[in-house]
Amino acid sequence: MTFQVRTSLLENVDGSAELQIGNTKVITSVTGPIEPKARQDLPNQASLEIVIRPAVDLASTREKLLEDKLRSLLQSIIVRYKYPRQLIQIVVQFLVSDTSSEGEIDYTSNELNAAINCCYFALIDAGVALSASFASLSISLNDGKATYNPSLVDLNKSDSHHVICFNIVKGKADKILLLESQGDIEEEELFTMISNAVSECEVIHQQQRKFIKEKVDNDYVWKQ
Amino acid sequence: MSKNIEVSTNEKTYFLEALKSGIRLDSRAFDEIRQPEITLSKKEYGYVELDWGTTKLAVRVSAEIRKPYEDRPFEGLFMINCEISSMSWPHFDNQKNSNDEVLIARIIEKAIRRSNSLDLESLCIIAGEKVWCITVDLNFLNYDGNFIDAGCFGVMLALHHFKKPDISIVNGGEDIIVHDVNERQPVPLSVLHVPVCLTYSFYNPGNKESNLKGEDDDEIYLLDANLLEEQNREGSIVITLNKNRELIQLSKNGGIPINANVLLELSFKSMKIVDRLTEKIKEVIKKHEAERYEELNLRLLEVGADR
Repeated sequence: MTFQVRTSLLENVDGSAELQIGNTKVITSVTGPIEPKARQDLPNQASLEIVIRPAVDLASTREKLLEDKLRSLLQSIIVRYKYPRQLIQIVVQFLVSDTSSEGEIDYTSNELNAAINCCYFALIDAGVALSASFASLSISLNDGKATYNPSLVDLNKSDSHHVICFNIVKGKADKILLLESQGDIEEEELFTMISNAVSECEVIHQQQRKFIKEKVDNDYVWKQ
Repeated sequence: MSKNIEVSTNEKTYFLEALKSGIRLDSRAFDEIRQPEITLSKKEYGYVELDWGTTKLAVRVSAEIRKPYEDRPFEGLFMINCEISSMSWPHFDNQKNSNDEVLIARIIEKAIRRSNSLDLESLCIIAGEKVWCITVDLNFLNYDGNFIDAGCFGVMLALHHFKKPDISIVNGGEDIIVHDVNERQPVPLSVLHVPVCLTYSFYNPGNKESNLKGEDDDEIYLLDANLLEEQNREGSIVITLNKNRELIQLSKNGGIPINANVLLELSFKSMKIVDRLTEKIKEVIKKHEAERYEELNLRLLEVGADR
């Protein structure tokens, strides 16, 4: 899988990343830890404010659902007890995404996948403590054949589609952080898909590492 | 980073002293705008990314077919969504709109939608039944002052860049076919005029009293203020004009009083910049169209001789 990513492009936030995978382009900003509002305040850990904004029109229940999925993932990966009574604000803005025309199924898998991967870079750019790396992958299955990062056409033809995210420790996929599946799938098929996704996510992680290494080298270019 | 928006006294004094000696901290002239940098999408119609100095925004225009309002059966629908998220500046709240946000949205809306810059009647497909609904999504990514001018420019640029799919009406007006953009060349929107917003910020180097009495007019006017300049200003005015020398909107919400002569002077000064920005839109779009034309090899499809 190939993606293009740029980081530190916004000035007023602590961390930002712009990611393009396939036909989806997303920009994410991370601000934090900052002072929360009284109702967001948690006594012994950081609270997360996650906002997802669609490319077209205003946020609806669709975006709220994505926010919820992203929150459940990030809650387990950000070291929240390091920032008690603080707030971490994450805004995900989709710039380009596949829009299905009327009457067709509205897919969110590619957007969720892009949002997760983009959050990874933005969180690193902001210097927020993470307990592990994570990489996600969007998969569509058609007659048992997997397509990684499917296009809208692939999704329309597929029997089932999935988003899978692993946490990655020492370059190896460790646990499944998120698995979103939709469509018809046999149990066996699902297990094969998951085991194939492991190596695929490790490859993504190698690309992530490579990018982050370059980024850190550039950021600390003044250091001998 | 904190949500705090206060500027330190040192920074403020330094900035004001510099202004008094005729210097802006980013070394622009007082009546000079930042140069807009434009990225037009090559794949889709109506998606524009704009860098106005370090103010960044992304504008998207989309079209869908809807039923018109009952009292206006011949007119299409036109909406501008302009919600500001905390991405552009942590000070902006995600849940509730602050006064600043509402003001920015209203002024842009007034400049473009209520000045009829988009011909709504041309969006009509079948009167009272089906019209095009044009939605503009204005997403601010980074805030370094002057969302109004940048937003207005970005929306007008995107409207020029946008093309809606061609349609044909069949069965005596019962059905319509929307042709895919790859099947038939899409049609541009009919934009009647290009409003350009220019925001001037005021600073009063002298004392308050003499300013109120109108004794001296030594107020300083800055065009296209950045974030620091905006935070320290004592008033501002938005002048919206178009190339036809029509005044579309004058918006001054409180702030220090200014002389009527100054208002005229600023309006006159603005004309040159309005012409330049309008020209810039036309030029960029023309260049982009030419590139697309080359890329699609449309010349091969042309029938008949050049006239």
